[in-house]
Amino acid sequence: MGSMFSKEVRRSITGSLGRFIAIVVIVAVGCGFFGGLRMTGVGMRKSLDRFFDGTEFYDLQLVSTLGVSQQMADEVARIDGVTAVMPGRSVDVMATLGDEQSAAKIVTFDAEAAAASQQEGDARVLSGDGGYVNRLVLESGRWPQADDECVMLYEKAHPDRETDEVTVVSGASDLDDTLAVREFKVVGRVTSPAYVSATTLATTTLGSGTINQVLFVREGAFEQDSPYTELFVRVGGADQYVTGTDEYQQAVDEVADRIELEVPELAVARQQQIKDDAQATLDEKRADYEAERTDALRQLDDAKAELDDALAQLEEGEAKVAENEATLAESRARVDDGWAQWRSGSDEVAAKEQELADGLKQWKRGADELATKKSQLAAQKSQIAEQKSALEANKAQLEQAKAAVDAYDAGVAQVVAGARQVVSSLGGDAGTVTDVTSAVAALTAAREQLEAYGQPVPEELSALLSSAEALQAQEAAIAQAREATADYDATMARIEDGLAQISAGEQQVAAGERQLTAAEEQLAASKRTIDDGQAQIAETKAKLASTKATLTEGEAQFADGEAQIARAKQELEDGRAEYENGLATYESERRDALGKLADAERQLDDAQKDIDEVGEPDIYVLDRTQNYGAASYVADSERIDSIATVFPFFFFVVAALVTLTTMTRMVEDDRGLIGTYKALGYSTARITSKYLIYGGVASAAGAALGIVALGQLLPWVIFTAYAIVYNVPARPLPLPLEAPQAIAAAVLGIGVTLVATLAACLSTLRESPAALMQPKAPKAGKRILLEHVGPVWSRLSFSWKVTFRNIFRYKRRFFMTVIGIAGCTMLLVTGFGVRDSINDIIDNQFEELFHYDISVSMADDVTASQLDAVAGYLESTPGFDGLAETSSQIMLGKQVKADGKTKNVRVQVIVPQDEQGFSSMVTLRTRQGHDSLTLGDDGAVLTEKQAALLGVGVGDTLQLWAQDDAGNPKGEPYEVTITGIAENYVGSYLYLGTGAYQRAFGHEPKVRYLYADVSTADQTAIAEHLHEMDAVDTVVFNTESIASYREMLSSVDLVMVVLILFAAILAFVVLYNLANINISERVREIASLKVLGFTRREVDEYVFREIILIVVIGALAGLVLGYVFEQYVIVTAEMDSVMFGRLIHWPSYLYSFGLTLGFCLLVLLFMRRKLDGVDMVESLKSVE
Amino acid sequence: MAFIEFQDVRKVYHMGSVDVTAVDGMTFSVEKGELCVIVGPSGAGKTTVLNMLGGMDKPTSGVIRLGDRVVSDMDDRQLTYYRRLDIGFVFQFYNLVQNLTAVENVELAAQICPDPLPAAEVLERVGLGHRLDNFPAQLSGGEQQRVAIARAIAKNPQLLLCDEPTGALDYQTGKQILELLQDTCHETGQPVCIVTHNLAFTQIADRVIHVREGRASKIEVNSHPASAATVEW
Repeated sequence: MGSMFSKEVRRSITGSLGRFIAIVVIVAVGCGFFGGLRMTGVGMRKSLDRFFDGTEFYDLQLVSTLGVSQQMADEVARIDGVTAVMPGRSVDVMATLGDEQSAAKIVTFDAEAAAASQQEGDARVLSGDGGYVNRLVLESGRWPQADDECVMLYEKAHPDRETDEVTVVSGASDLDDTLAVREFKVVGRVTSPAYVSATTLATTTLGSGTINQVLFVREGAFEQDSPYTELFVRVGGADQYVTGTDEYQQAVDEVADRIELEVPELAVARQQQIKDDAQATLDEKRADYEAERTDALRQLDDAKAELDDALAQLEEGEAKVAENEATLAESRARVDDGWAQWRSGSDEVAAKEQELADGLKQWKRGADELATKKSQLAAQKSQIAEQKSALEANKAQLEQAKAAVDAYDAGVAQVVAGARQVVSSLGGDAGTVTDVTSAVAALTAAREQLEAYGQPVPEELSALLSSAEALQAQEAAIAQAREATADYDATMARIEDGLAQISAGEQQVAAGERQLTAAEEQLAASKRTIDDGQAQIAETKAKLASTKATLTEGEAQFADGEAQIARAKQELEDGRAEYENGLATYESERRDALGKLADAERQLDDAQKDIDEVGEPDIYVLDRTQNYGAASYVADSERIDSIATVFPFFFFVVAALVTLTTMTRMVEDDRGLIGTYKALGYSTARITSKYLIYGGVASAAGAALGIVALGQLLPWVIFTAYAIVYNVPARPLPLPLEAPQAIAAAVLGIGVTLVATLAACLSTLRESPAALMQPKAPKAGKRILLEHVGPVWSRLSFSWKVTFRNIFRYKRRFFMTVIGIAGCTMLLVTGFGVRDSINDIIDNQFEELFHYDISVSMADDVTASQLDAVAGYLESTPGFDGLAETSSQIMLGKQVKADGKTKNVRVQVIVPQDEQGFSSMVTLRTRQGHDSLTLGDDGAVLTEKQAALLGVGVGDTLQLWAQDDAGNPKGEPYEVTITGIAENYVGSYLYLGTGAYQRAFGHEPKVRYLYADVSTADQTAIAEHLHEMDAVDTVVFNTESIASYREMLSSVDLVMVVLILFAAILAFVVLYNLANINISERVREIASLKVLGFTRREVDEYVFREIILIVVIGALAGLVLGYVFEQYVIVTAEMDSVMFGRLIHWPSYLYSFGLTLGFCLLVLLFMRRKLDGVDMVESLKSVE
Repeated sequence: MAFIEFQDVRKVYHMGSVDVTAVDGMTFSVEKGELCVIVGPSGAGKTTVLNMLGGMDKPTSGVIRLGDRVVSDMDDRQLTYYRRLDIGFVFQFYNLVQNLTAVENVELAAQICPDPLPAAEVLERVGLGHRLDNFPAQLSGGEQQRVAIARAIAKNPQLLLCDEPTGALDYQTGKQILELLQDTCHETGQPVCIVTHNLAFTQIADRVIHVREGRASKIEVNSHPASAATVEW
C-alpha cells in the first residue's frame, strides 16, 4: 500500500514535470545564490589562507623604531609558540622603473633558500629551510644570483610592461648607510604573500604615498652593518586556522601577547646594544678627530710663521725705501735752490733788459726830436730864403712896371702930339685929340680922309697910327701896371722892411743849427752807454742758460730716483697686500678650521648626547591585519558576506511564493483525489505527506543542484573579478563545498518550500471528503476598485476588463510574479547600476572634477627655482592649458569606532597656492546640488568618502596625525575645522586654505605639487623629460588611473553576465509558473474562446495581457528596489580609497526594464505553443 | 441546395498505433430554417460531427458544407473566422467567462463580429433583462445557459450549434432552454442544430439525424414538430 502511495507520488512528479522543475529551479537559484555567496567570502579567505600557508607568510611582524638585531631575533625565537623567525631589511625609495619614476620598496629575501625551494602549484612553495618565511612564488625569470639583481612583483594588470632595470634615486632617509647597491637588474617576476593587493602594495611617506613596486633583493644589496628593519614570525599551529577568522586571530594573539610581554626587555636590550655599538663608533671617531685636530693646528702654525717672515722682509724693504727717499729729498732741495738762484738771475737780467730797453726808447725819442728840430730849422731856413727871393723879385717887378708906364706915357704924349700935328695939319681941331683912343680915332679918320681924297697917306701918319694902335693894345696891361705901381714908394719901403726881417731870421736859424749839433753829440754818447749794457746782459743770459741746463739734468736724475723709489714702494705695497691677503686667508682658514673642529667637536658631543639619550625603542608587534593586502582582502571578503545576507533574500521570497502558488494549484487540481484518499481512509497527515514529499524532493533537488552549481560559479566569478585587484592564486576548480554554508542554504531553501507547501495544503485538507468530491466552485468574478472609476473603466475593452479583474482575483499569484519580476529587474538595475557607478568614477572624477592631466610631485626639499623650472617646462609643452601649484602631504585622520577599534584614514592634505588657478584644475563642489565650494583662507574641504569614514561633517573638528613608518599616527595631532564636504570618487583629499593650514600646522605650506592641464598625445616624452628635471618625485597621468578603472569595469562585466543570467532565470521561473497556472486553470475558458472564434492572436492577447501587465508592474517595482539595492551594494562593496558613483543612469533603468520585458516575451513565446495546444474539445468536457 | 450538407464524411483519430474511426461515411443534409437534432448513443460519433460542423475539427475525408461554404476545405485560419462569423456555440456547461458579467459575456462574443445584435436586447429576449450586470457565479445554471445562448445569438450566426444544452440542467430549466432554442429557431428563422443523446428532443426537431457507429443511420423529417413545452423525458 505504501509503495502504491509512493508510486502515486512519483507519478505526480513525472506528470507535472514543468511545475516540479519550476520549484527545483527557483529553490536552486535561491539556495545557490545564498550558499554560493556565503561560500565566496569563506572561499576568498580560504584562498588567502592557502596562499599564506603555502608561502609560510608571517603571522606576526616585529618592527622597532631602532631596527632589529640578530640577538633580538634569537630572543623572539625562544618565545613559546614561535616556530620561525626571519629578520629582514626593507627601505622605501624613489626609483626609476623603466621609463617611470615612482615609489618602490626594496626588501631583502633569502635568495639561497628561494633558489633551493620548489614550487608546487601556484600557491605553495616547498623549502627545506623552516626559517624561510614570506616565500616568494616565481612567476617568470629566475632568482637573483648577484647583489645587483632583483626580482619584482608580477604585475597582473600590466603583463606587457617590461622593466629590466631599476635605478634608486632617493630614499625617505639617507641611503648611504642602508643600501649598498643602487642599480638593479630585474631578473624575474614573483608573487609575494606580503603584497597581495595590486592597487596599493603598501603605504609610504614618499611620492604620492603609495608603493608602486616591490623589489626583492639579496641580503648583499644592503649595507651589512645596517640594522634589520623587521622580524617576521611564524606562530606554531596558527596555520590550521583560516587567516582572518577569529580562531586564527586568537591563536596568533596568544603568541603576540607573549611577545608583547618580552617587548620591554627586548627594547632595553636593543637600546643597550645600540648604545654600545654607537659608543664604540663614536670613540673611534673621537680619536680620529683628535689626531686630525692636532694636525690642523700644526699646519696653521706653520702658515703663521711663514707669514711673519714675509712681514719682516717687507718692513726691511720699507726702511730702505725711506732712506732713499730722504736722499732724494736732499737733492731735491739742492735743485730747488739752483732753480731759485736761476730764477732771481733771470729776473735781474729781465730788469736790466727792461732798463736798457727804456734807455733805448728814450734815446730813440731824443733822436727823433732832434731830427724833427733839424727839419724844422731847415724848413725855416728855406722859407726865409724864399721870402727873400720873392721880395727881391717884387722889387725888380715894380721897377720894371715903373719903367714900362713911363715909356708908355712918353709914347702917348709923342703920338698925341703927332696926331694933333696931323689933325691940325689937315685942318682939324687938334684939341680933340687928348688920349690914345681919340688919337687912334683921329688918325684913322685922318687916313680915311686922305684915302677918301685919294691923297697919299704920309708915312708919318701910318707909322703914327700903328704906334697909336700898339699903344691902345697895351692899354689894359699898362692899366694894371699903373695900378701896381700906384703905391710904388710904399711898397718899395715894405719890401726893404721885409728884407731886413729876413736877415734877422737868418741869424736865428744859424743859432738853432748850432744848438742841434750839440744835442746830436749828447745822443751819440747815450747810445754808446746802451750798447754797452746790452752786451753785458747777453753775457749774463748765456750764463743763466747753462745753469738751467745743469738744473734740468738734475731734475731728470731726480725723477729717475723718484721712479725707482715708487717702484720699490709699489713692490713693497704688493708685498704688503700679498701678505695681508695671506694673513686674511690664514685667518679665515684658521677660523674655518677652528669652526670645523668646533663643529666636529660639537657633533661628537651631540653624538655622545644622542647616544646618552638613546631611549628604549618602540617595538610594534603587528599581525596580518596590519598588512595592507591581507587586511583589505579579508575586508573585501567580509563585504561579500554582508551582500550575501541581503542578496538571496529575494530568491527565497520568490521560491516561497512559487512553491505556494504551485502547490496550491496542485492541491486544488488534486481535490477529487484528496477526497478519494480521505474517503479511502488515509489520514490527513499521510495525504499531506504526499505534497510535503513532492515539495521536499523538489526543493532538495533544487538545493543540491543550486548549491553545487552556484557554489562553484559564484565564487569563481567573484574571485575572477577580484583577481584584477588582488594577486591571490585562485583555488583550482572544483572548489570544495563549504559545509556550514551549504547546509544553511539547503535548510533555508527546503524549509521555505515545506512551509509554503504546508500552507497550501492546510485549507484544502480541512475540508470534508464529501465537499472535496465536489468540484470547487470557480472563484467568483468580482468587481474591482477600478470599475468605480467610471470614465476609465467604460473606456476599457472586455479583454482589458478581464485582465484587470483577473490580476486582482488571484492575489497570491500576482504577488509572486510581481516580486519575482521585481527581483529580476532589481538584479539587472543593480548590475547596470554598478557599472554606471564605476563608469561615473571615470566620468565624474576625471571629466567634471579633475581637469588636470598631470600631477607632478616634487621632493620635500624642492627649491623655488626647481619648481619654476618644472612649471616653465609644463607651460612650454604643446596643449598646455593651465597649471596650479599646491603643497601636499600625507596625514592620518583617526576615528575611534564604537567597538573601541580605531580606523585610520589617510588623506592627502592639499593647500592650493592660488585658489583661482587651482579651481580650474580641481572643481570643489557638493555631490548633491553641485553647489560650488570655495576654500578661501580659512577653508578646510574634506572629500566625501573620507568624511563618511571619519564621521565628520561641516563644522566638526578633524584631527590629523603624522604617520610613522609602520603607518601609525605619531606625535601630536593637528586640528582643522571642516568647512565643506566635496564630491570625490578617487583618492582622499583634504583641501586647506593657507590660513587654515598655518593655524593648524604653525608654518607656511611648502609648495611641492603641481597640477597641469596638458592635453597631449605624447605623455611618455613629457614624463621622461620631467623625470630628468631636478627634484621631480612622481609624475602621474590621469589617463593611467582611468585605464585602471576601465580594467575594473571589465571585471564587473563578468558579474553583469551572471546577474543577467540569474535575472533571466528568475523571470523564467516565475513567468513560466504564472503562465502555466493561468493556462491550465483556464483551459476551458481558452477553449471556449477559441470555439467562439477568437483568433490565435486574440486568445494570446487575452491570456498574456495580464501577464505582461504584471510584469510591467513588477519591473517598475524592480526599478525602485534596484535603486535601493544598488546603493546598498555600492556602499558595502566600495573600498576606502574609492567612492563609486551614486547615480544610476536612465539607460540602465531602460535596459533593465527592456531586458525584463524581453525575458517575459521569451517566456510568452514559449507558452504560446502551450496555448495553441489547448484543444477546443476541452470546452465540451464537464467540470471536474 | 441544402443548408448543411455532410457528404461521406470520415474522421479517423490516431491513438498511438491504433486508428479509431469516429465518423465513418456520414452523409446527411439539413435545410435552412430547420431545427435539427443530431441524436445517438455515447460513442456513436455525434460529438465528432458537432466538432466538425462547428469548425473545431477537420474531417479526414468527405465534404462538409454550410450554405455556400465548404467547411471541410478550410484551413485553420478560415475555420477560426468560420467559427467566429458563422457559428454560435452553446456548451453543455455554458462556459461563461467567470470574470465578466452577463452582458459582458455577450458583448465579448459580439465584439469580434462585424454585425452583432445589441447585447442587452438579446439578453432581454432570452429573459435576462434584469440580470445584465450579474457575474456568472451569481446566476443559476439555467440563467447561465441563457446567457450562453444570448452570447451565441448576439453574434448573429448562420447556425446556432448546441452541445447537450440541457445536460447540466434540471428538467424544468432544461425544458425552458429547449423552448428558448425552438422559439429562436422558429421565430427568427435562425437555424439551430442540437446535439444530444436524449431521444426526447427528437419530437421538437424539424429534422432528426440518428447517428450510430459513425454513420447517419436514419434521417427523420417532422413536418409538425411538437412544442418544447410539451416534451417530456
